Formats: sequence, C-alpha cells, structure tokens
Amino acid sequence: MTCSRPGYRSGPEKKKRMNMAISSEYVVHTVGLTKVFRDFWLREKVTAVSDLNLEIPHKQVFGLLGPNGSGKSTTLKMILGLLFPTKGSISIFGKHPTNVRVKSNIGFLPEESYLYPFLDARETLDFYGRLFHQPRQQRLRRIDMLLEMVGLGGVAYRRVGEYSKGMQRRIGLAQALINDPDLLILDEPTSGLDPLGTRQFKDLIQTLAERGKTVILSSHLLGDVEDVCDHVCILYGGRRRAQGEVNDLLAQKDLTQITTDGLDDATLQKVRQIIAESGRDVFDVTYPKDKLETLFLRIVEEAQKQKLSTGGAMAGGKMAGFLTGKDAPEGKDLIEALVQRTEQQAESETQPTPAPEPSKADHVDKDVLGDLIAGKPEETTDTKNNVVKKPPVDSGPAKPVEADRGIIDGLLGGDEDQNGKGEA
Amino acid sequence: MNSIWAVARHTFAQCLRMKIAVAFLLLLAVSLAVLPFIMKGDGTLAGGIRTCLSYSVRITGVLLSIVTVLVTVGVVSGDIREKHIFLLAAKPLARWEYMIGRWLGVVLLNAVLLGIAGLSIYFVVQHLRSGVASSVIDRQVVETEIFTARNEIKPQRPDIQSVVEKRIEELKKNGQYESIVKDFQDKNNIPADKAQELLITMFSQEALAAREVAPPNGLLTWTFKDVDVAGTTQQGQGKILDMNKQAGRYRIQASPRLVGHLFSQGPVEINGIAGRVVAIGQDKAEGEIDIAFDQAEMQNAIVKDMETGQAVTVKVEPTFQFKYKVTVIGDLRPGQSSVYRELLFGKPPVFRIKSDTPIKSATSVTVPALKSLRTGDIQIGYWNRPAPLTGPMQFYMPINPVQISYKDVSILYRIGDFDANFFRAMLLVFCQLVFLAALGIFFGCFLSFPVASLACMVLLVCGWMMNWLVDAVKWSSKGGEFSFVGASGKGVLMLTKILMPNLSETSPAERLVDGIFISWSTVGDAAITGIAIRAVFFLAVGCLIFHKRELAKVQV
Repeated sequence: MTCSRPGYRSGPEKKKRMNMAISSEYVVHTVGLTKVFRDFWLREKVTAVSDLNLEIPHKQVFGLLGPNGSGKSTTLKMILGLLFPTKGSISIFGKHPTNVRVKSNIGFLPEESYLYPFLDARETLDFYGRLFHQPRQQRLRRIDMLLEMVGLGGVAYRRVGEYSKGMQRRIGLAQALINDPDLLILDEPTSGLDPLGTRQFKDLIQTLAERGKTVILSSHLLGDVEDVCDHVCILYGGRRRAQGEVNDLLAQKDLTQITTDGLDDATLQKVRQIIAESGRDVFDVTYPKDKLETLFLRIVEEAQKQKLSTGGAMAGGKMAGFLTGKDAPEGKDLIEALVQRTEQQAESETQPTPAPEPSKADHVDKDVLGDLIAGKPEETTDTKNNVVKKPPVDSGPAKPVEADRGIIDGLLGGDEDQNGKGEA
Repeated sequence: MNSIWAVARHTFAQCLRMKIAVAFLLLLAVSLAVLPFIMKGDGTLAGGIRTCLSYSVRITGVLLSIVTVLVTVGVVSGDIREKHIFLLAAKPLARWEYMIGRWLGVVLLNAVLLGIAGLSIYFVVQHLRSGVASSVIDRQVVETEIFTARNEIKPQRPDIQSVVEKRIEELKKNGQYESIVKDFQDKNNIPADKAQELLITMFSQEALAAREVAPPNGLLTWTFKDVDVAGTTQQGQGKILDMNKQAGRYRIQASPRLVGHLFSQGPVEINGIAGRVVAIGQDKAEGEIDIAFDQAEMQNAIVKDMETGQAVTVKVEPTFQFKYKVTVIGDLRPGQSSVYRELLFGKPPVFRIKSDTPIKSATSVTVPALKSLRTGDIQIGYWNRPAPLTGPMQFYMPINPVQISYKDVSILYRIGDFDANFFRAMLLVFCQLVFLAALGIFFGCFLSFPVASLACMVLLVCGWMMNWLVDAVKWSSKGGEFSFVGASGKGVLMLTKILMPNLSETSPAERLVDGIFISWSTVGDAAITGIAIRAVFFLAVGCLIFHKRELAKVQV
C-alpha cells in the first residue's frame, strides 16, 4: 500500500511504479522521500530530506547516521506519520504510516522522552499499556518487568517530572517496549543515559535482534551504532551518502590484525622478520588497553555488590521476560501451562524429594561476602557462564520469568538472585 | 472505545494533578462561604437567598466555563507544544479517538465539579431557608416564589392590528385618511408609502397605550388563557397549641415551610374541614397560625372533637402569583414610591386586594386559587382608584395615570418542585460546558494556547452577551441606510449565532431566583442545540483538521 499525501506531486505513472515497488516485504520502505519545510508564505525554507530511498527488511538492526540537521529525525517522524512527505512515499509493514493498526507493532523512543511529568513511572506505563488494549493482568505484569529491567522499580511511584534525564530516558525506553514491538524506532536512544544504561540498551537491542525484531536506530554516536547495527545509512544534508552492512563498510581488507597472548621481544622480532620476508610492512605493534567503559562498569558493579545506596536509577534488572520471547504464558496458553504443570507436579510428588538447597538469601550473602573477601571483580563476568551451566536451585517447577536470562544479567550483576545461583 | 476511555481517564487525572479542580473548588468554597455574609440583599430572608442563589449559580457557571475552555485548549495544544503527542501518535490510537477522549475527560471533570458545586449551592440555600424570616410576607416569598418551580403565563395580547385596520377604514370612510397621510408626508418630508407605514406604527402605539394605560379611576384588564392551578395542594402535619371552641378559633403550629404557603384570610383545611386563616406568625413564633371555622363547620364532629396538643393535617389550597410592574405617568409627589390600587380577580371579581404597590419595579402578590380561579381562563383587573380617605384628611388626593405593559404582566403558579428544577438548572449549565469543551478542543487542535484561548474567550463572551449584541446591531442599523459598520455587525452577529448557543438565554440563574419552572424540553433544547448540533460540529471539524495536520510541525 502506498502512502500519498496532498503534497505528493508525482504523476500517475510514477505513482503506479511506486505502488509496485512498495510491498510488505520490507518493514519500512521509502521511495523518493522528500520533505521540504516552508514558511508562512509557502516559500521553501529548507529541504530536510531529499529523494531518500530506504528498504529496511525484517529482522534488521538499521542505523540511521548523520550529523545534526542531516534529516534523521525528520525521516523517523515521517515514518511515524508525524510529518507528511512533500514528495515520495512511505510504507510501514506495507501500510500507510498513519494506519492505526500498524502502530500496534511499533515501539518508539523519541529524541527526548516527552513524558507526562505529573504521572509516576507506573502510571506512565499503565497509560501507554492501555492504549494497546492490553488485558489488565498482562499490563501489570509487563509494567513490573519493565520497571525492574530499566532499574526504576524502586522509584516507580515518583513523578516522572522529578526524574533526571537519564531516568526519563529509561522510562521512555520502557514505554516503547510495553507492547513487545516488532519494530522499534529509537531516536538518539543513548543520549542522557549513563554508561550502565547505554550498555544495557545495547544488550537489549541485541536480544531483540536475536528474536527477529527490527530496530531502526538514529544516532550520531558512532560507537553505539557500530556496536549494535548490522546495516547503516549515512545521511548528510537530507541525502543518503552511504548505505550497507556495517562490516562491509568498515572492513579494511588491505590490513591484518593478529591478537595473541603477550609476546616477548625475541618472538616479536621473529614475527617482524617473517612479515618482512613476505614483503609486507608492520605498521604498529601495541599492547591493547582496557576500554574506559569496561573499567566504569566494573567499578559500578562492585558498588552494587556492596549494596551502596543510591537515590537514582539502579542498574537494570534482568531483561523483561516478554521481551526475550520466553514470557510467562497468557490467556489460553496460561491455562494449558497450568494444567501441564499440575500434571508434572503430580508426577514429581511420586519422585523422592531432593535434599533442601540453601535459601536465596544465603546465596546472596555468601556471594557478597565472597566478593568482598576475594576482591576479584572479574569473577562477575564469569558468573553468566556459570549460571547457565548450574542446575536450578529450586526443586519445584521453575518460574517462567526466572528461567529467562538476558545477556545483561551477568554483565551488570544487578540481579542478586543470579549471583546467588552462580555461587551455589 | 478502550483507547478513548484511556485518554479520558488520563485527562481527568491530568486535570486533578494540575490542581485545576482544587483551585475551582477553593474559589467556589470561598464564594459560597462569604456570599451569605456580605450580600444580604434587601435585608429579608428572601433577598438573602435570592442573592446567594443568583451569585453562586452565576459564579459556578462562569468559573466552570473559563476552566473548561482553558483546560481543553491547554491539554490539546499542550500535548502538541510539549510533544507528548509524538508518543501518542506512535501508539494504536486514532487521532479522532484522542480528540474524543480528551473531550470526554474534560466533560467528566465538569460533571464532577458541577456535581460538587451544585450540591454545595443546594445545601447552602436550604440552610439559609431554615433561617428566620423577617415577616410573614418574607416567608411567603421564600416558599412560594423561590423554593418552587412555577409556570409563567403571559396575558392574551389585544388584537392591535384589527383595531388599527378598523380605525383606518373609518378614516377612509370619512375621507380623512388621504389628508392625514399627506400631512405626514409633508411634515416628515418622506414618500407616501413611508408616511403610511409611520401612520400605522403611530396608530398601533396609540391602540396599545389605550390598553396599557389606566387613567385616574380607570381599569386595566388582562385575560390569561388555559390556566391550570389545580393539583398544587400542599399538605403537612401540625399541632393544636391553643383553642377557643366557642369562637371557633384554633392556634396551630406547623412547619414554617408549609405556613409560608398560607396568607391572611386565605383558605386552609384542617383534618379535611375548610377553614380560614385569621393570622400568621406576626407576633408569634414563625410557623404558628390562627384558624377560624365558620358556624357551619363548627358543628362538624371533627372540629368539635379537636383537643389541645392534638396532631392535625394541614392542607394548603393552591395559590398563584400575579406579577406586574407599574409606571406612573406624570409628576409624582416628592418622596412618592408607591401608588394605591385595587386588584380584581375573576369576572365577576371573587377576590380583591386593596393596598399600595411599589412603582417602577416588578412586584407580585399571592392570590388563593379559589375554585373559579383554578382552571381555564382567568381575568385580572387593575383599578387605578384613589386611596380611601381616612382621618381628618378630607381633601382630594390627585392620582396619576399609570402604565402597565403587557410584557411586564404575568401570572405564575407552582407546577413542580424546587429540587427537580435545580437539578434541571444544573443540567442546563452542564450542556453549556459540554459545548464549551468541544469548542476548546476544536481551537486547541490547530492553534497555539494563547491564540486558541483568546478565540474561545471571545466566542464565550459573545455567547454570554448574545441578547445585548442583538440589540446593539438592531440599534446600529435603525437608520435604514446601509452602513459598513452595521452590515459587518450583522454578519458577525449571524456568524456568532450560528457558532454559539445563546448562553444568556440558557443561563438558569434568573429562572431559579424567580422560581420559574425549567422544563425538560428546555433542557432537551439546550442539549440538542448546544451538544447534539454545535458540539458535534466542532468536534467533527476539529477531528478532520487534526487528522490532516502534521503533528511534528512547529505551531505558533
């Protein structure tokens, strides 16, 4: 289905061609997209986007890059139906951008959070959840999960107007995810977020991508885009300057990098000699440094393990179950799951009862104590692997939510439960 | 529907959080608490209640109207200005659903605030009603003219046109008509057709004056068609305080609210026996009446068996009020503020009232609806007679002619309760607010807050002053010649009339103060013209504009 607005001035033939070109094969498809802003007297003031063709297929993490004023936000606004194209057309899931049904599959985080300051975090999510006609139970469960995920569970009853910018970004992100969208549109998502939140956000995108979601990311923070996007489009002056796979665009095929354990001078000399014999030059030999991000995360992680208090956002909790695709069943599925579980329970009652495991609190205390004594922060990064390998602590049927482990769980170490299990 | 309800709930919560409701309720509370103390009216209980009722209902209407306009404009334009709409537009919420949800939320807020205000006003005036009246008449006014819902009937107008035609025919027959028209033509320097028009107007005014002006000792009469006072009998319990069986006199105590419907020498029934009120309240506590039975009734076993302290049923026969305004023609004596007159009810008269009546202000008298005055056509006469001479003043007191316009004359009789009438009055206010909410949503969806507020306020004031505007435009175009100002005034007025309901006519304060019945058809009419047509129109056009506009475009 094509999108055409009163401002669209192409002829019928061109329109027909565009109709042919646009299909729901792509999540977002723009053809000759142009946006001209005019003044009161309809004089052309600025061309924000010019003849932009985008084809964003399903399951792609797409980065829209460009300096300030390059037309990134304008493009996103047109995709969302907030602005109408002067020329060209857009389809989103094969439908017009203002189509209401299409919006059920979209999550949007604008460049600033634009939240109602008089609502608290829970009310904010509840309001947006209602707009998706979510049943009450599902809505409340998702709100709890999201609040925990973005680390605002402790300040859920504080008004959003009192939040710091970063906290507002977190709640903004939560509202964008409340419908478990197939397409997530993020405009400068990491602006205002601390490195912890940024890290969490990147992991989130990775998880969503693994689940086959499509993500459109607009940013001028190149590092963020490089870390998460598999396809980028670089805009300048409203025009597309480059587009393609990130790896293809960044690959320097005339250079080779070898990473090994530390080499002594003699070995290095040998390596240089071999390379020189093959007629190549060695440009640089260095010892890799830790990234500042890694250092920062490690320090915050330690503080959290020591349970130092903070009035701000906590480290994000585990990924909301419904976002990992392993959410607790709902409706009919829930009934089926309950029946199944009852049967399993009946079976397990005939089995011998396993020896009692230490309680969850014991795990946590032991974990914190162990960290304090050992002083080995590196261990936390290993816990993730341990967790996966360890058998579940609880002998009863595992809670579906607990069974879900996001990638960030281990990285951020904010989940006591997880640490406990890792130690056990 | 879920989405609309979600937005409506959100709007309601938003208004509460924005302290709008608190500010309104504070203002209302202050005005309700202060009004009865600072505005005593004319010092009577009725005056105090009327002042309080009038001001509080008007203040509620005005405050809520302004709140409604500002809130509706604010929530919609605020969403666009603060870019909250970006998030809403990315949700499965149709733009029309957003608009209707916003409107519904403000309507909900209005319902709650108006409910609170209405209940507060109701309880305050009921509290004032239980105060002590300054006189018997004061109590009578409170009970029969304020805490009631009365039907108002205007007298049948005389057929002035046929009188004028007859006069012109006579003049033509005598051959004088042509010469009179010629005289008019020459005197005013106008064409013949204009002169004829002017002559007809003059004859009409003369004919009307002949029926509106009572010369000294003259009589003015009015006929009221299809009156139905029956069925408004009031009943309550009383107690015999004292009695004189030989004289057939009984002193009875009853609720002041019931006694307020009685008047001296008026009819009353005690335990089903017809009696006559001899005295009310006056030198006794309020709520006490002296009843006299005629000789025939005194022989009745029920009357004979009456004992002191016995509970009795007091039944008040229906009454009606005759309302009129007297203007004296000619010079008045220094300090004169009233004239003597006699009012005659029925043909032949079955009830008479002789006393002074104030001039230049509307006045009303309560009259018992005796059997011949209950249903059908009632004739009432005003006799401009001199006051009876008493004492040593045996000289002639000159009297002036008086004029009573047809528009100032009416009879009123109870056809409903104050409570139900008050509820309908609040519904009228609510209809206005529902319309204003739609108006605010309409302007807010495409204009910035200051511009949209200004546009709404201008239209709101026009709606309040509609009658004045009509008069002003009529007056400005009286000359008959075309003027740009007059034509543009007419155009603006026409547009205003189309866009706005006449808020001055649908304002219920005046009717409540005068105890005039507000019918369901009046409420229905306000609902249809205000909500069903205009509000829907503004909402529909607003939705269309909002659907077509670019929400991310900067609006100034």
